[in-house]
Amino acid sequence: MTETLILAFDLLLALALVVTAWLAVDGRGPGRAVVLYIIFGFLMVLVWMRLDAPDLALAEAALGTGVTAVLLIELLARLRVNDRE
Amino acid sequence: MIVSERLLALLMLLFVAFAVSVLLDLPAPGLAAAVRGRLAESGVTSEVTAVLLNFRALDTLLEAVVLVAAAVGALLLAPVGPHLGGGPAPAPLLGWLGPRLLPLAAVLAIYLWWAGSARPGGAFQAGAVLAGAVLLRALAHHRAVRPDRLAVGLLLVAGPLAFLTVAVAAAAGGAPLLRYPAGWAGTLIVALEGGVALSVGAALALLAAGGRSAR
Amino acid sequence: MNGAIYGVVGIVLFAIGLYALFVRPHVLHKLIAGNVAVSGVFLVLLRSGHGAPDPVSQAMVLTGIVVAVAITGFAAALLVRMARVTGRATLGRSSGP
Repeated sequence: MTETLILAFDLLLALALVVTAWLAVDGRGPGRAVVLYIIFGFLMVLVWMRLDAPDLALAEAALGTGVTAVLLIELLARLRVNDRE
Repeated sequence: MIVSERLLALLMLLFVAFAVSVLLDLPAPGLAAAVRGRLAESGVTSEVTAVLLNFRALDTLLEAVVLVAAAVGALLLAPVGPHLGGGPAPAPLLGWLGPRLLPLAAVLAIYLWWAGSARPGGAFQAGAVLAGAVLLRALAHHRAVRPDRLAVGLLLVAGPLAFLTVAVAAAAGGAPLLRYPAGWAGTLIVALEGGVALSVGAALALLAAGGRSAR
Repeated sequence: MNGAIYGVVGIVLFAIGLYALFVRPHVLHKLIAGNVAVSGVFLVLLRSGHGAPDPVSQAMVLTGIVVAVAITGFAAALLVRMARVTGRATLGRSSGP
């Protein structure tokens, strides 16, 4: 029973990863892409935990998702400022 | 244009089918036994830290250099002036919270740094937490992080500098590059991780919110 | 068995990222697509048969995550400069805003 549940969780997480990744790069607006990529990063943290790699989960949460989110949001803001000028 | 997009999509589908069929036949990576066999000599009990800071320490040295190089490169392109580019002034809550989170983040970073030799954690995670706190502070004051002061520059190169010191000291003693003297591995790894954490923190903060002075 | 799921997901993510990197004109989409492709590579590197994954693979992926962030930061700085010089945030022949 537990194994079936874990398999279901893995399949669901896999599906969520692929769908979020696709939506993030489907070309419908950069702001939307940034938000979806941040969600994708959080899903990656879950994947590293599932694969028994807590070191990577920590690094992904702090660097891959945390710092990258700041970088992307800032890039978005700067590109928008640039558009207005 | 549409035709080439379709062609590319088709190529990608073919690639996925081919790569999946190959992947299922590949053996799993198998260096775990080798790492476990010599873990006792590495000076730490965490396998990942043993690989990063001892068995493959040269990779980590170069990784720290890559981070510093990226930060310097981004700084050369950064806007001139004391303020962060784009966006309105921050909300009052952030102004209150930003500076007060710094000590908390410092405690968390020190824990991650210390935990790295035995448990999940380590220099890069600690550095990222430090950078996050510095970034919040920069946002709260709406000021760019600037490398004008010597201290910021020294923090930035702390990691590569510590690594190079150890490497040169080992080489001067006749040992291969970055081989730690017997009995000192644990201490040296903790010290090196401290340097790398400071370096990572400074580099990430400069990458995300760096600004140049007019000089 | 379950480890293989994430290996396959890694390949699919790499393909999605590479496709979008070529096709999407906006630079932010290109940057995010590159990051998605890199995440796919990490998943393939870390695939494990059973139990905890290989420590050497973990160290390689950890290095990769840090380098990916460094590249994203440097790329962001370059793209801001590019947008300032050319006046648009897209690449390719299609005339963007």
